[in-house]
Amino acid sequence: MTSLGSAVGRRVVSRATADEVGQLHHVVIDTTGPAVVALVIGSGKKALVVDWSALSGFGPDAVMITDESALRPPEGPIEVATANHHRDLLKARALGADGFLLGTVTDAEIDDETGRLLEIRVGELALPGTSLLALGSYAAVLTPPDGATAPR
Amino acid sequence: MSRLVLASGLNRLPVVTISGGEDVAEVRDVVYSPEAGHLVGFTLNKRGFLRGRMKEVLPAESVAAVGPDAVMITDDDCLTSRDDAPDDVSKASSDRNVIGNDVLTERGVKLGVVTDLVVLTGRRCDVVGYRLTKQGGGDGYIPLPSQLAVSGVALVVPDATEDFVRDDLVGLGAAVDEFRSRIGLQPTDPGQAAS
Repeated sequence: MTSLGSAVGRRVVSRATADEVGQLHHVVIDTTGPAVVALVIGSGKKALVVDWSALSGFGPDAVMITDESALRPPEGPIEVATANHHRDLLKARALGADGFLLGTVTDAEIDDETGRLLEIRVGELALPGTSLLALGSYAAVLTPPDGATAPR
Repeated sequence: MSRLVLASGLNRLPVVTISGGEDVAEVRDVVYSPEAGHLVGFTLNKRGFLRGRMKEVLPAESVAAVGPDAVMITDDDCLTSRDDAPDDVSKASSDRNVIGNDVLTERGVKLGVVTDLVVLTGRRCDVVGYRLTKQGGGDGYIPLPSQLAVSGVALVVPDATEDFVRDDLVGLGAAVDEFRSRIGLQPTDPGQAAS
Protein backbone atom coordinates (compact mmCIF):
# COMPACT_ATOMS: atom_id res chain seq x y z
CA MET A 1 0.00 0.00 0.00
CA THR A 2 1.35 3.40 -0.98
CA SER A 3 0.34 6.94 -0.11
CA LEU A 4 -0.31 9.04 -3.21
CA GLY A 5 0.55 12.15 -1.26
CA SER A 6 4.04 10.85 -0.59
CA ALA A 7 4.45 9.59 -4.17
CA VAL A 8 3.88 12.94 -5.87
CA GLY A 9 7.26 14.43 -6.71
CA ARG A 10 8.94 11.01 -6.71
CA ARG A 11 11.49 10.49 -9.48
CA VAL A 12 10.55 8.35 -12.45
CA VAL A 13 13.37 6.17 -13.78
CA SER A 14 13.74 4.04 -16.89
CA ARG A 15 14.64 0.48 -15.98
CA ALA A 16 16.27 0.01 -19.38
CA THR A 17 18.69 2.96 -19.15
CA ALA A 18 18.63 3.93 -15.46
CA ASP A 19 17.97 7.49 -16.65
CA GLU A 20 15.64 9.70 -14.66
CA VAL A 21 12.89 10.82 -17.06
CA GLY A 22 11.10 13.21 -14.75
CA GLN A 23 9.04 13.46 -11.61
CA LEU A 24 5.57 12.17 -10.86
CA HIS A 25 3.13 15.11 -10.93
CA HIS A 26 -0.32 13.58 -11.25
CA VAL A 27 -2.10 10.26 -11.46
CA VAL A 28 -4.87 9.42 -13.89
CA ILE A 29 -7.70 7.71 -12.07
CA ASP A 30 -10.35 5.52 -13.63
CA THR A 31 -13.33 5.81 -11.32
CA THR A 32 -14.87 2.55 -12.50
CA GLY A 33 -12.17 0.59 -10.60
CA PRO A 34 -11.40 2.79 -9.02
CA ALA A 35 -7.73 2.61 -9.81
CA VAL A 36 -4.75 4.56 -11.01
CA VAL A 37 -4.43 3.69 -14.68
CA ALA A 38 -1.65 6.04 -15.72
CA LEU A 39 0.90 8.46 -14.34
CA VAL A 40 1.62 11.99 -15.52
CA ILE A 41 5.22 13.09 -15.52
CA GLY A 42 5.65 16.83 -15.71
CA SER A 43 2.65 19.07 -16.23
CA GLY A 44 0.99 21.36 -18.74
CA LYS A 45 2.43 21.34 -22.24
CA LYS A 46 5.47 19.30 -21.18
CA ALA A 47 3.43 16.55 -19.58
CA LEU A 48 4.02 12.96 -20.60
CA VAL A 49 1.88 9.98 -19.68
CA VAL A 50 2.87 6.41 -18.92
CA ASP A 51 0.28 3.67 -18.53
CA TRP A 52 0.28 1.71 -15.26
CA SER A 53 0.84 -1.43 -17.32
CA ALA A 54 4.20 -0.03 -18.47
CA LEU A 55 5.53 0.25 -14.93
CA SER A 56 8.02 -2.28 -13.67
CA GLY A 57 7.69 -1.02 -10.14
CA PHE A 58 6.12 1.66 -7.93
CA GLY A 59 8.67 1.81 -5.16
CA PRO A 60 9.13 4.06 -2.14
CA ASP A 61 12.10 5.81 -3.72
CA ALA A 62 11.37 5.73 -7.44
CA VAL A 63 8.73 4.84 -9.98
CA MET A 64 10.24 2.48 -12.54
CA ILE A 65 9.09 2.41 -16.16
CA THR A 66 10.15 -0.31 -18.54
CA ASP A 67 11.76 2.11 -20.99
CA GLU A 68 11.29 5.60 -22.39
CA SER A 69 9.25 4.38 -25.35
CA ALA A 70 6.40 3.96 -22.85
CA LEU A 71 6.15 7.74 -22.51
CA ARG A 72 3.57 9.52 -24.67
CA PRO A 73 1.61 12.79 -24.75
CA PRO A 74 -1.72 12.92 -22.89
CA GLU A 75 -4.61 11.49 -24.88
CA GLY A 76 -8.29 12.13 -24.41
CA PRO A 77 -10.10 14.60 -22.17
CA ILE A 78 -9.35 12.82 -18.88
CA GLU A 79 -5.59 12.62 -19.37
CA VAL A 80 -5.46 16.19 -20.67
CA ALA A 81 -7.52 17.47 -17.73
CA THR A 82 -5.29 15.59 -15.30
CA ALA A 83 -2.10 16.97 -16.88
CA ASN A 84 -3.55 20.50 -16.63
CA HIS A 85 -4.36 20.21 -12.89
CA HIS A 86 -8.10 20.01 -13.53
CA ARG A 87 -8.62 16.50 -12.28
CA ASP A 88 -6.43 15.88 -9.25
CA LEU A 89 -7.71 13.63 -6.50
CA LEU A 90 -5.31 15.10 -3.96
CA LYS A 91 -6.66 18.42 -2.63
CA ALA A 92 -9.94 17.87 -4.49
CA ARG A 93 -13.12 19.19 -2.95
CA ALA A 94 -14.76 16.09 -1.42
CA LEU A 95 -18.51 16.28 -2.01
CA GLY A 96 -20.97 13.62 -0.92
CA ALA A 97 -23.51 12.41 -3.45
CA ASP A 98 -26.10 13.78 -1.01
CA GLY A 99 -24.90 17.35 -1.56
CA PHE A 100 -22.98 17.64 1.72
CA LEU A 101 -19.41 18.90 1.61
CA LEU A 102 -17.11 16.46 3.40
CA GLY A 103 -13.92 18.51 3.20
CA THR A 104 -10.80 18.26 1.09
CA VAL A 105 -9.09 15.07 -0.03
CA THR A 106 -5.85 15.03 1.93
CA ASP A 107 -4.41 11.71 0.77
CA ALA A 108 -5.19 8.39 -0.83
CA GLU A 109 -3.73 4.92 -0.56
CA ILE A 110 -3.20 2.69 -3.58
CA ASP A 111 -2.12 -0.89 -4.11
CA ASP A 112 1.41 -0.45 -5.48
CA GLU A 113 1.09 -3.66 -7.51
CA THR A 114 -2.24 -3.04 -9.23
CA GLY A 115 -2.83 0.70 -8.79
CA ARG A 116 -6.19 -0.01 -7.19
CA LEU A 117 -7.48 2.80 -5.01
CA LEU A 118 -7.77 1.39 -1.50
CA GLU A 119 -8.55 4.33 0.73
CA ILE A 120 -9.34 8.03 0.47
CA ARG A 121 -8.59 10.38 3.34
CA VAL A 122 -10.69 13.47 3.84
CA GLY A 123 -9.24 15.11 6.91
CA GLU A 124 -9.97 12.72 9.77
CA LEU A 125 -12.27 10.59 7.62
CA ALA A 126 -10.89 7.40 6.05
CA LEU A 127 -13.20 6.18 3.30
CA PRO A 128 -12.90 3.03 1.20
CA GLY A 129 -11.55 3.61 -2.30
CA THR A 130 -14.81 2.34 -3.71
CA SER A 131 -16.48 5.46 -2.28
CA LEU A 132 -15.17 7.43 -5.23
CA LEU A 133 -18.05 7.90 -7.67
CA ALA A 134 -16.57 10.59 -9.89
CA LEU A 135 -13.60 12.91 -10.16
CA GLY A 136 -14.08 16.16 -12.03
CA SER A 137 -12.85 19.71 -12.15
CA TYR A 138 -15.29 20.78 -9.41
CA ALA A 139 -15.22 17.88 -6.99
CA ALA A 140 -14.47 14.31 -6.10
CA VAL A 141 -17.96 12.91 -5.58
CA LEU A 142 -18.08 10.28 -2.88
CA THR A 143 -20.66 7.91 -1.47
CA PRO A 144 -21.72 9.65 1.76
CA PRO A 145 -20.27 8.06 4.87
CA ASP A 146 -22.97 7.00 7.30
CA GLY A 147 -23.77 9.90 9.57
CA ALA A 148 -20.37 11.54 9.15
CA THR A 149 -19.40 14.94 7.91
CA ALA A 150 -16.16 16.83 8.26
CA PRO A 151 -16.18 19.62 10.83
CA ARG A 152 -17.01 23.00 9.30
CA MET B 1 -28.61 12.54 5.90
CA SER B 2 -31.27 15.29 6.04
CA ARG B 3 -31.17 18.83 7.31
CA LEU B 4 -33.54 21.76 7.35
CA VAL B 5 -32.37 24.70 5.27
CA LEU B 6 -33.97 27.89 4.00
CA ALA B 7 -34.88 27.91 0.32
CA SER B 8 -33.05 31.22 -0.07
CA GLY B 9 -29.93 29.34 1.02
CA LEU B 10 -30.24 27.11 -2.03
CA ASN B 11 -29.83 30.04 -4.41
CA ARG B 12 -26.41 30.06 -6.08
CA LEU B 13 -25.67 26.49 -4.99
CA PRO B 14 -23.73 24.58 -7.63
CA VAL B 15 -25.53 21.86 -9.56
CA VAL B 16 -23.03 18.98 -9.65
CA THR B 17 -23.07 15.75 -11.65
CA ILE B 18 -22.61 12.56 -9.67
CA SER B 19 -21.24 10.81 -12.75
CA GLY B 20 -18.65 13.46 -13.57
CA GLY B 21 -17.96 15.70 -10.58
CA GLU B 22 -18.59 18.78 -12.74
CA ASP B 23 -20.53 21.90 -11.73
CA VAL B 24 -22.76 22.30 -14.76
CA ALA B 25 -24.96 25.13 -13.45
CA GLU B 26 -25.96 26.98 -10.33
CA VAL B 27 -29.35 27.53 -8.78
CA ARG B 28 -30.94 30.80 -9.84
CA ASP B 29 -34.29 30.35 -8.14
CA VAL B 30 -36.32 27.72 -6.36
CA VAL B 31 -39.70 26.93 -7.91
CA TYR B 32 -42.32 25.96 -5.36
CA SER B 33 -45.88 24.77 -5.67
CA PRO B 34 -47.81 25.95 -2.60
CA GLU B 35 -50.72 23.72 -3.59
CA ALA B 36 -48.49 20.62 -3.75
CA GLY B 37 -46.33 21.67 -0.79
CA HIS B 38 -43.01 20.78 -2.35
CA LEU B 39 -40.36 22.12 -4.69
CA VAL B 40 -41.09 21.44 -8.34
CA GLY B 41 -37.72 22.44 -9.64
CA PHE B 42 -35.05 25.06 -10.11
CA THR B 43 -34.25 27.76 -12.63
CA LEU B 44 -30.57 27.98 -13.39
CA ASN B 45 -27.69 30.33 -14.01
CA LYS B 46 -24.49 29.51 -15.79
CA ARG B 47 -21.40 29.05 -13.69
CA GLY B 48 -18.44 31.35 -13.85
CA PHE B 49 -17.69 35.04 -13.77
CA LEU B 50 -20.05 35.98 -16.61
CA ARG B 51 -22.90 33.83 -15.41
CA GLY B 52 -26.31 34.55 -16.86
CA ARG B 53 -29.58 32.75 -17.03
CA MET B 54 -29.53 29.31 -18.59
CA LYS B 55 -32.21 28.24 -21.04
CA GLU B 56 -32.47 24.90 -19.27
CA VAL B 57 -34.33 24.26 -16.03
CA LEU B 58 -34.02 21.43 -13.52
CA PRO B 59 -37.28 19.63 -12.64
CA ALA B 60 -37.41 18.26 -9.10
CA GLU B 61 -37.89 14.69 -10.36
CA SER B 62 -34.49 14.91 -12.05
CA VAL B 63 -32.71 15.83 -8.83
CA ALA B 64 -30.80 13.04 -7.09
CA ALA B 65 -30.29 14.96 -3.85
CA VAL B 66 -30.36 18.45 -2.42
CA GLY B 67 -27.78 19.23 0.23
CA PRO B 68 -26.62 22.42 1.93
CA ASP B 69 -23.57 22.56 -0.33
CA ALA B 70 -24.80 21.35 -3.73
CA VAL B 71 -27.75 20.12 -5.76
CA MET B 72 -26.78 16.72 -7.13
CA ILE B 73 -27.90 15.30 -10.45
CA THR B 74 -26.91 12.07 -12.18
CA ASP B 75 -25.52 13.80 -15.28
CA ASP B 76 -26.13 16.92 -17.33
CA ASP B 77 -28.91 15.19 -19.30
CA CYS B 78 -31.03 15.96 -16.23
CA LEU B 79 -31.11 19.62 -17.28
CA THR B 80 -34.21 20.11 -19.39
CA SER B 81 -35.10 22.71 -21.99
CA ARG B 82 -38.01 24.92 -21.00
CA ASP B 83 -40.06 23.53 -23.86
CA ASP B 84 -39.67 19.98 -22.57
CA ALA B 85 -39.98 20.72 -18.85
CA PRO B 86 -43.24 20.41 -16.90
CA ASP B 87 -45.26 23.64 -16.97
CA ASP B 88 -45.06 24.12 -13.22
CA VAL B 89 -41.27 24.53 -13.59
CA SER B 90 -40.93 26.28 -16.93
CA LYS B 91 -43.91 28.56 -16.58
CA ALA B 92 -43.95 29.20 -12.85
CA SER B 93 -46.30 32.08 -12.14
CA SER B 94 -45.14 34.90 -9.91
CA ASP B 95 -48.74 35.10 -8.67
CA ARG B 96 -48.14 31.84 -6.76
CA ASN B 97 -45.07 33.14 -4.95
CA VAL B 98 -45.84 32.80 -1.25
CA ILE B 99 -43.08 35.16 -0.15
CA GLY B 100 -44.77 38.23 1.28
CA ASN B 101 -48.10 36.45 1.84
CA ASP B 102 -49.99 36.86 5.10
CA VAL B 103 -50.42 33.63 7.05
CA LEU B 104 -53.92 33.39 8.53
CA THR B 105 -55.37 30.61 10.64
CA GLU B 106 -58.83 29.21 9.91
CA ARG B 107 -60.30 31.33 12.69
CA GLY B 108 -58.69 34.50 11.36
CA VAL B 109 -55.53 34.95 13.43
CA LYS B 110 -52.64 36.45 11.50
CA LEU B 111 -49.45 34.61 12.41
CA GLY B 112 -47.16 36.74 10.28
CA VAL B 113 -45.83 37.31 6.79
CA VAL B 114 -43.92 34.62 4.86
CA THR B 115 -40.27 35.51 4.26
CA ASP B 116 -38.79 32.14 3.25
CA LEU B 117 -39.46 28.44 2.80
CA VAL B 118 -37.96 25.70 4.97
CA VAL B 119 -36.77 22.77 2.89
CA LEU B 120 -35.83 19.30 4.09
CA THR B 121 -32.67 18.32 2.24
CA GLY B 122 -31.74 14.80 1.25
CA ARG B 123 -33.08 12.70 -1.58
CA ARG B 124 -36.39 14.54 -1.39
CA CYS B 125 -36.76 18.30 -1.19
CA ASP B 126 -40.05 18.70 0.59
CA VAL B 127 -41.05 22.08 1.93
CA VAL B 128 -41.83 21.37 5.57
CA GLY B 129 -42.39 24.90 6.85
CA TYR B 130 -42.24 28.63 6.37
CA ARG B 131 -40.20 31.35 7.99
CA LEU B 132 -42.32 34.32 8.99
CA THR B 133 -41.91 37.78 10.25
CA LYS B 134 -44.21 37.49 13.27
CA GLN B 135 -46.94 39.93 14.06
CA GLY B 136 -45.03 41.15 17.08
CA GLY B 137 -41.75 41.29 15.18
CA GLY B 138 -38.88 38.85 14.90
CA ASP B 139 -38.59 35.63 12.98
CA GLY B 140 -40.79 32.62 13.53
CA TYR B 141 -41.05 29.25 11.87
CA ILE B 142 -44.23 27.28 11.26
CA PRO B 143 -44.61 23.72 10.03
CA LEU B 144 -46.63 22.72 6.99
CA PRO B 145 -47.86 20.22 5.47
CA SER B 146 -50.38 22.14 3.52
CA GLN B 147 -52.42 25.26 3.47
CA LEU B 148 -56.16 25.10 3.34
CA ALA B 149 -56.11 27.81 0.71
CA VAL B 150 -53.58 29.96 -1.06
CA SER B 151 -54.48 33.08 -2.99
CA GLY B 152 -51.20 34.73 -3.90
CA VAL B 153 -51.84 37.30 -1.17
CA ALA B 154 -52.57 35.09 1.83
CA LEU B 155 -52.28 31.52 3.04
CA VAL B 156 -54.80 29.86 5.33
CA VAL B 157 -53.40 27.26 7.72
CA PRO B 158 -54.98 24.95 10.34
CA ASP B 159 -55.75 26.57 13.73
CA ALA B 160 -53.31 24.12 15.36
CA THR B 161 -50.46 25.89 13.58
CA GLU B 162 -50.69 28.71 16.11
CA ASP B 163 -49.40 26.33 18.82
CA PHE B 164 -46.39 25.37 16.73
CA VAL B 165 -44.73 28.69 15.94
CA ARG B 166 -41.05 28.20 16.74
CA ASP B 167 -38.10 30.59 17.03
CA ASP B 168 -35.51 28.65 15.00
CA LEU B 169 -35.01 25.79 12.59
CA VAL B 170 -34.01 23.39 15.34
CA GLY B 171 -37.29 24.02 17.11
CA LEU B 172 -39.17 23.65 13.84
CA GLY B 173 -37.52 20.31 13.16
CA ALA B 174 -38.79 18.97 16.45
CA ALA B 175 -42.26 20.43 15.85
CA VAL B 176 -42.95 19.09 12.35
CA ASP B 177 -43.78 15.50 13.22
CA GLU B 178 -45.76 16.47 16.32
CA PHE B 179 -47.74 18.96 14.28
CA ARG B 180 -48.52 16.44 11.59
CA SER B 181 -49.58 13.93 14.20
CA ARG B 182 -51.85 16.56 15.77
CA ILE B 183 -53.68 17.21 12.51
CA GLY B 184 -53.78 13.56 11.52
CA LEU B 185 -51.04 13.23 8.92
CA GLN B 186 -48.24 10.69 8.53
CA PRO B 187 -44.88 12.19 9.64
CA THR B 188 -43.13 11.38 6.39
CA ASP B 189 -45.99 11.91 4.03
CA PRO B 190 -46.79 15.61 3.75
CA GLY B 191 -50.16 16.48 2.30
CA GLN B 192 -51.60 12.98 2.69
CA ALA B 193 -54.22 12.05 5.27
CA ALA B 194 -53.43 9.20 7.63
CA SER B 195 -55.20 5.98 6.66
